[in-house]
Amino acid sequence: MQRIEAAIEKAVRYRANGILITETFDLARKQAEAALQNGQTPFPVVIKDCFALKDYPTTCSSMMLESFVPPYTSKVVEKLISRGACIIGKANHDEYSMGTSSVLGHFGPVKSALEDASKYDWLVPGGSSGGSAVAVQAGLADMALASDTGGSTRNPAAFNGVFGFKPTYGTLSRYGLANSLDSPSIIARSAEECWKYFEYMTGKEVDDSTSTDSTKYLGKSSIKGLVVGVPREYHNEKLSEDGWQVWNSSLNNLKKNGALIKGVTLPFTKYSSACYHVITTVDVASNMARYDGIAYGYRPSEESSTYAMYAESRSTALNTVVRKRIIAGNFLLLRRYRKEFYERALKVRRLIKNELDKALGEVDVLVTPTASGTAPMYSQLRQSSYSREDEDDYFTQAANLAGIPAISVPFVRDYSLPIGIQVMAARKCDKLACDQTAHMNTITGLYVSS
Amino acid sequence: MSLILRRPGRLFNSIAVRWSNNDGRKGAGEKKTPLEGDEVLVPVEPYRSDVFENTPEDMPQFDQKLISQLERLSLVRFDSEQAVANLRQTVRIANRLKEIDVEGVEPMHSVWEEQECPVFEDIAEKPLPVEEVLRNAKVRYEEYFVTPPGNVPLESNAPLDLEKINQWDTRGQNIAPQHKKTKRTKQ
Repeated sequence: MQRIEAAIEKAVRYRANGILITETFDLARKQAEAALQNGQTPFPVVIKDCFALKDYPTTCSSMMLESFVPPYTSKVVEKLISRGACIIGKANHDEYSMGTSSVLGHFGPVKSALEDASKYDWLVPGGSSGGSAVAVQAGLADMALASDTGGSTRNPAAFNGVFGFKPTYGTLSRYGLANSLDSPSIIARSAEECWKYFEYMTGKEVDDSTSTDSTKYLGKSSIKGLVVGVPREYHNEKLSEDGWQVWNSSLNNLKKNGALIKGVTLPFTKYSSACYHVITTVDVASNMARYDGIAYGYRPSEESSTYAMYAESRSTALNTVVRKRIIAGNFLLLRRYRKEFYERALKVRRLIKNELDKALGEVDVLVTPTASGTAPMYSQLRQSSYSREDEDDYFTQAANLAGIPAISVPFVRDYSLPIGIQVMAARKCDKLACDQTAHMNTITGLYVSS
Repeated sequence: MSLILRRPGRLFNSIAVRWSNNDGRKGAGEKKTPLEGDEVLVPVEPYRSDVFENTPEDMPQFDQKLISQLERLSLVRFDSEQAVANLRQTVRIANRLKEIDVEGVEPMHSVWEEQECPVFEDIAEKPLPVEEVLRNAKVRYEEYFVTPPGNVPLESNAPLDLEKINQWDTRGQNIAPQHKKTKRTKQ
C-alpha cells in the first residue's frame, strides 16, 4: 500500500511534466486493497492511453476521444490487474501513437524528468510512449504498458534510461489497443522485470486474430558461446560518437565474457524507413476510418450532411500528423499508385524479414544502437521540422516489419544523457532477448534512474 | 571499461546541452574512436544509408479534381497548401523503393501468414447492455444512433492556391507544427 501511495505522490509532484492524461488514484487504491485481499503484492503501473480501461477515459491523446469512456478493458490490462497491478493513471503519448517525440498530442507535450523542464523548452522524452517511459523513470510506476509500431517503446526507453521491450508480434493480445500494426510492449527498470511482466500478459487470445502462442524458449544461461551479430548498417551517418562508443563498448564487454562477435550485413536496412512509411500510412487510412463522431468521438455542430459532418469531425479533432497520414494513406491507395507503391512496399517488407531471419539463423542476437544519439531539446526538434524523429526510426522499424522481439538497454556514461542499446532476436525467442539483456546489464556498468 | 555507474548530472548536463546547441548527436557522420581500452568491434567509418531520392517524372500535378477526390476518400479537409504539398514528399519517399528488384517476391501482409485466421462459432453471446453501447454517442434517438442526411457528396470548401501547391519545392515554406497546452481529462 505504501508503494502505491508513494507512486501517487510522485504523480502529483511531476504533474508539470504532462505524464498522465487521466489520474486514477482512487482506482489504484481500490486495486491495492483487492490485491492484498487476494494475497498478492500490489504494484503501481501506468497504462498508455491507447489501451481501453472500462469506465475511465481512453483518449489516444486526441481531441477525437477526449470524452470517450470505453465499456470494456483491454486484454493485457485485465491480465495485469489480475496479478496485482494498481493503475495510477493513463499515460500521455503522441496522438494515436503517431510520432517519436510525445510533443504534439491534444493534452500537451510530455517532458522528460531527467532535466528541469521549463514552459518553453524541455528535454524530449521520445515517443510515442513518452509518458510511459517518464512514468517509470520518475518512479510513478514499476512498470508501464506501452505500445510499439515502429520503435514507440524502445525509443523513449532509450531517451529516459529505462528498459523498453517490444515482444514478438502477436504474443501479447491487441484486444483493446487502438492500432493494428501496434505491439503491446513493456517499460520497466530491468530486463528481468520486462520478462516477468511479459509472462503476466502473454497467451493466445480469441479476441485478436493476430494473437499467437509464445513458445517456452529457455534462452541461454550465460554469455559464454553466445553469437552476437553486429550489422554495420546501424553505424550510419546519423549515429553520434557517444552512441557508437557505447555500442562498441558493450560489445567489448560481451566478448570479454565469452561471446563471439560477428559482423553481419543487412543491406535492406536503409529501405526500411520508406517501406514502413508506405505500409503504416495505408494502415492508418484504414484504421482511422472508424472515427466519424456518430457512435463515439467528437461530434461537431455541422449537420448539413453525413459526409460534411464526418469531415468536420475529423478535420477538427485529429491533429496535423494524423490527418497527414490519413490523406497520404488514401493517396497511396489510389488505383494508379496501389500496385506501384503499396504492393511494392509489402514485397520489400518480405525482403527485410528474410534478411533478418537469415542473419538470426547465423547468430543468436543482433546488437545495435536504439537511436542515433541522446534525446534532443524540443527547440532543436522543432527547428529540424521533426526530421530527427524519422532519423531515429531507422534503428527500430525493421524489427516491427519482421515481427521480431527487440529490447532497449539503457547505458549512462559520466555526465551524459542515457543511450539505448538494442538487442534483437528471432521471432518467439523473447526469453533469449531478455536473458541476454539481463546479462549485459550485470556485466556492464549501468545506471538505471529511479 | 569506461561505462560508469553514475547519476546523470542534471544541471551540468542541461547547461552543456543548451550551450553546445547540439542535438544529442555530436560526431555523427565522422570516423569514430573507441573508448580507452576497447578494441574496435564496429566499423569506424559510417555506412551511407541515404537512398537516392529522385523526383519521379510523373510526379502528380494537383488539380481541384484530385484534391476533392482525396478529401472525399479521407473525409478530412486540406487546411493549407502545405497539406497538399506534403503528398509530393510521400511520393518521393515511396519512390525510393523502386531501386529494389522485387521480381518474384510475394507481398508480406502480416507476420503470422501461415497461421489460420480464427473465426467465432455462430453462437449468440451476451451483449453489452444497450445503454453502455450508446453511452458514447452524443446524439441518439431511443435506441438508435442519429446521423444527418446521407447521400450528399462532400463539397470542397477551401479554395487553395494550385500554383503554389505544384511549385511547392521552390515556392513553399514548411511550417513545423506547435505543441498544445498541458491539460488532463475531466472526470
